[in-house]
Amino acid sequence: MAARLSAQLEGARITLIDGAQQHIYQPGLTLVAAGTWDPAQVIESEADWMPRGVEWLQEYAAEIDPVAKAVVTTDGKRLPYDFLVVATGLELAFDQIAGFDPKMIGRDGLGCVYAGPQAALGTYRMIMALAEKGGDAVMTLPHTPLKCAGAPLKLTFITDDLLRRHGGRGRAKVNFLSPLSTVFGVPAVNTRVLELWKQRDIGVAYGRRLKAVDQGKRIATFATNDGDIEQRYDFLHVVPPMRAPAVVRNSPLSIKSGPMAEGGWMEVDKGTLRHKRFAEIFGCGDINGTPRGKTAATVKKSGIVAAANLVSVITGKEPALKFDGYTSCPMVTSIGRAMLIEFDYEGRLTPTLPGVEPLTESWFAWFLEERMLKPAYLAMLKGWT
Amino acid sequence: MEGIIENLPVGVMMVIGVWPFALVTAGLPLLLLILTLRHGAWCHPRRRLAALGGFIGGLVLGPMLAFAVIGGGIGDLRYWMDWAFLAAITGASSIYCGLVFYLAMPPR
Repeated sequence: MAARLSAQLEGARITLIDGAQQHIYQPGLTLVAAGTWDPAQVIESEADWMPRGVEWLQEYAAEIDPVAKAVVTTDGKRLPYDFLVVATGLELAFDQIAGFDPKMIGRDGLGCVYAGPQAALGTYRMIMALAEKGGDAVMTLPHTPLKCAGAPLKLTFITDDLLRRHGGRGRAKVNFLSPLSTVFGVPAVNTRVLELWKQRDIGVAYGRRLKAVDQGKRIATFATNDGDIEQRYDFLHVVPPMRAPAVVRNSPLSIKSGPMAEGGWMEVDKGTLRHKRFAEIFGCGDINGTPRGKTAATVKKSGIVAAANLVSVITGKEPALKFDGYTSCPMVTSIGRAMLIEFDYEGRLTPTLPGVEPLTESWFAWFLEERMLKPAYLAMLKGWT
Repeated sequence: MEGIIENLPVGVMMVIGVWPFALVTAGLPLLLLILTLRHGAWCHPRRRLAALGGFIGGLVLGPMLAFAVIGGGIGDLRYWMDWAFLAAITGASSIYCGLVFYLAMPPR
């Protein structure tokens, strides 16, 4: 967004508030967990991608006051603004799983691909330990909106594939436990994934929300409509509930009623990406309380819309562009194969590349995931696409 | 088609990401061309034979390199797009190796 805005707005003073020194290419984390990428491949230096002409304040936003039009940083600096783009990303709510500490990832059968490069590597090691010794693999999904909703499914496919490649599939059971009545929100994709899992002997159970983990006993507790049930595991892939960071969740910017209120997501118009109550604020990425899409592909497409609409508002016009909710998920189905799934807010499949069949496993789609997506992401950081 | 045009900068970023490889790949035929210019004899039989050898070598090398670099194997080719993509890689590698071998072979 900063790169786009600095290119489009001559003479504007743009400040980027971000205390992170490292930029993690998060779509690559599943490839680290698959053992095909090194963790170093997903780590970029934030400074290397900072656009020219943008003032970088290396702190975090601690408070947003949309009435006074000011942001207060973690070091207590107060920055007034004329226009604000909120792109905080989301927060992994590990605290909502009793007994679980992210430091436990990569030990005693616990994995979580979302918790960063080292956690993804630890997840790979846990899968390999399962391949060696055999046992029960339990894959989970949270009840909240989540970033890259395909990642838990990919990890399930990858676990199955790694077990087969290393001769451990016969000694292992793989089960996916969903808190919902589906495993993926797009019906056509849900059906196709279940079809592939049936072929690969991957079990599915619904209405099970991960509630607690006892790492010593290797027991996971799931809440169901009929009360809690305990599930023994040898490998547990934890996908934590997700929510907006406190800076947005506890601010006037968050949604105050309805199903999205619990997560504290930002209340934006799903088309223009402009805040519904504070006209000088736009949202970009995972923080937006939109019906679908918390992926890099969503950011790529919606960033264009948000930046153009913000420029329109600055120049005294109404936002003209509407975001259709485009998102994309290269669903890895084994190492060497993937399905390039693209869809919109309504869950309609919206393929953009000619000749690519969304629900067909393909080596070409794997190539896109493995070799093309990171350059696409970096081009986006530059504001080129 | 819109997707292809929109993603052209991605190709630029891909080349930047592997710039030493891209430089050597693009520079090798050029270097050989410069080195062999003075020899003349563009259609010398030895060069034709070398080009044929290079072409056949590229046919084998292309898919091998593609699977080594991208991952996967012949069993992962599931539908026509996969085969078309592999054919494009193989074709490019054959032409490239044929050209390099042609240029590398002194005409006398």
